[in-house]
Amino acid sequence: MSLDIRTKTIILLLVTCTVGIVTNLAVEISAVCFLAMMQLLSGKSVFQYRLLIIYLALVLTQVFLFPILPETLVMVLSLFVVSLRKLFPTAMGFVWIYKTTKVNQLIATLTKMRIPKGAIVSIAVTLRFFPTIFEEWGHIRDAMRIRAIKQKGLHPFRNIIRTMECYCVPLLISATKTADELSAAAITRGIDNPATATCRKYKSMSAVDYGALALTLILTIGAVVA
Amino acid sequence: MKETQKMQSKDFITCGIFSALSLVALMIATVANITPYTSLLYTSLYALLNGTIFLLVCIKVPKSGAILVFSVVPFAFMASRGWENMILAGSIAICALLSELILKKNRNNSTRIAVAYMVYTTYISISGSFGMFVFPDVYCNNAIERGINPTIVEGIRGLLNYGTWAGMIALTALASVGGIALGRSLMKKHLHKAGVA
Repeated sequence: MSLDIRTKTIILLLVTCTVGIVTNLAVEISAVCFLAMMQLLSGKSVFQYRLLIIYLALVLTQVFLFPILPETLVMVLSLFVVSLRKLFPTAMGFVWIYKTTKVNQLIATLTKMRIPKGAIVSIAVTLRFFPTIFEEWGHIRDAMRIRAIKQKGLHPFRNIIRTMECYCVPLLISATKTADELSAAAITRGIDNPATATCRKYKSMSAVDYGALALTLILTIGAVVA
Repeated sequence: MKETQKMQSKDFITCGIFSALSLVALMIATVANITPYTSLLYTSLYALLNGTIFLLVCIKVPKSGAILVFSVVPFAFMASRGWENMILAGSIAICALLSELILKKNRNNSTRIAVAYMVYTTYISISGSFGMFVFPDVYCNNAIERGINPTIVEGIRGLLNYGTWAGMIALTALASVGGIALGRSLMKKHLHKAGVA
């Protein structure tokens, strides 16, 4: 199932608003299951089973383990478990949108919506560059391990500052270089062309989109009213 | 060739890339939200981490509108996170606009950048914790309903007053000055040598 970016954004908004308004655990579980179903319908590679397993583990801990654990332990654990659990509906939604949205389709849709060019380019670049940051982070970590950057004798605070510096500086240099390279590539490919950009893969809202929106709306109203 | 003062595609791309880095800084700072006690330090941590990125945007894109374009991604990110974050999204737009007004055309002045950044980070210290401090009872009831231990919530309730909020805003303002200073020292020590800025 392939949904339009507008549909996916509205679904995410409805789900996060519902979870924000209704503090019921059953509603939150339903929201996470609904988003997991959306991921599954969008493709096997989109479905984040690890996230779902972690979420279920947190819910089971809260429902079954907390009543039998000592009060002191519950006091410490409840903060961590509940705060982490609260992030899952949003995280599941973002992963779903991120994994199913192609940058060219996003640009075409936003252009059709008459969003300013600056905002479109900024969002598209962020979406494209985001995974690169984590890759870069991994490379920096490997390089630090090889060169044994961490100094054991150093004061812990100075060690933190040093580690931060070791991560930040290469990341900023790499980001600046990527910005220059990406600009050159985009200019070569005609980003400055004043004509309206077209996209072969652009598709308008279909019956599936309206169906998904209607289903989400019904579920949202049901959750708020119940 | 004379450089135009209008934002070009290259500038939009640079702002987009730094926006992505800013989101990563926000994600790192969000770790502080894991407990309500440490969440009081979340805004200052974000201000400290994001300072260098803000400084680089000001220096790499010294044109009007750079901060507004830089704020598009955090705005879209917050706006899609539900009704609680809608106020936050709105204040990002307002603070970015105010920062633009402070910076005007003079984007190499350290003091001006620091003040603009201090104003920029108020979106997170004021609007980010607005619900928590203005409606503490609702916040605490929600926390209990979500499953947090009532004894802990009672402890948190004692911290939720206007004094703590003012302290948090002041700490964030201090952290934003620290963030810009950190950025300056990183630039002096490394980035100038690498030819980045």
